[in-house]
Amino acid sequence: MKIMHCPLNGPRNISEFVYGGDVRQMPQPDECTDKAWAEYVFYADNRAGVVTEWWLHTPSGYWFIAERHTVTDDIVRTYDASDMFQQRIDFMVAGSDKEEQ
Amino acid sequence: MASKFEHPVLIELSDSARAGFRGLAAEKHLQRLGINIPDTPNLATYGDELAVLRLSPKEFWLLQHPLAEDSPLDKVQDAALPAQDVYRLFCRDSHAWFWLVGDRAADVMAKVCGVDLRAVVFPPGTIAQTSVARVNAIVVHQTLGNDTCFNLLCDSAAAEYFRRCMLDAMAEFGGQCMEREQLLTIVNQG
Repeated sequence: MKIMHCPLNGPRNISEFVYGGDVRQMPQPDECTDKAWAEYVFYADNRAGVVTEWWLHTPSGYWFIAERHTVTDDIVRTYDASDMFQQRIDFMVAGSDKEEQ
Repeated sequence: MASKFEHPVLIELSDSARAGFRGLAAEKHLQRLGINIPDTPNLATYGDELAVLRLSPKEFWLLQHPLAEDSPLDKVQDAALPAQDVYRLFCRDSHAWFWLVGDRAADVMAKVCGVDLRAVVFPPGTIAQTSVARVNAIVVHQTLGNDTCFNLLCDSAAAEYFRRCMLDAMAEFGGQCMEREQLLTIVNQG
């Protein structure tokens, strides 16, 4: 059984987790080009080495960040998203002054 | 003092009152209503009327004791929410609720759950959000008199499957289902 350490719940069976994709800088959707947005949505680096990824612990609905080696599948470190994101990211609606929550 | 439950028993409490609150201001809102909040996630406080589950820094569930004579949850439900940063979670609609009671409860759970739920490592007042019989579930350890009592909350759509899995796991220990009224009778026996 492979064990992953959830920052909220502690060590759990890997079957309780779902992969959520690389942690990447999102371009401003209302300012970036269509090409830049398409690259953000559809392309991934698929890099060999330690990558930073979103993971979900499904029983608690808790999203966190993990550093994982893509060659050995070793999970180097896991931590709460607040370590990386100190404030909520709001999205501007194109053509509107209102901020979407 | 001896256990009142020679064999483990399973009681379905899905029709019992419970409610949830989530948001940055949820803790302050509940404290304002006089609710005793656990300090850290995955801990619970419980008494004769209400169990308070802290599932994350900003998510709380309140379970009204199924044998409580009053309805302490009504006061919490009737209170107006702050204008922002708190919203309700309708966990009575989303989740089924069972009690697993008896000295062998941890042994029963060991057959369907990978987390060690023995009292030495999972004492009363702790919570495990994990997989039970392949279903996402919340396990809360509390006591009922001198007996171990696990609150089990799972997706309501999986309630019947979950009940059958628990009965299967309990069979080895002579476990059985019980109605709330039977439980009340046993608990009230001197």
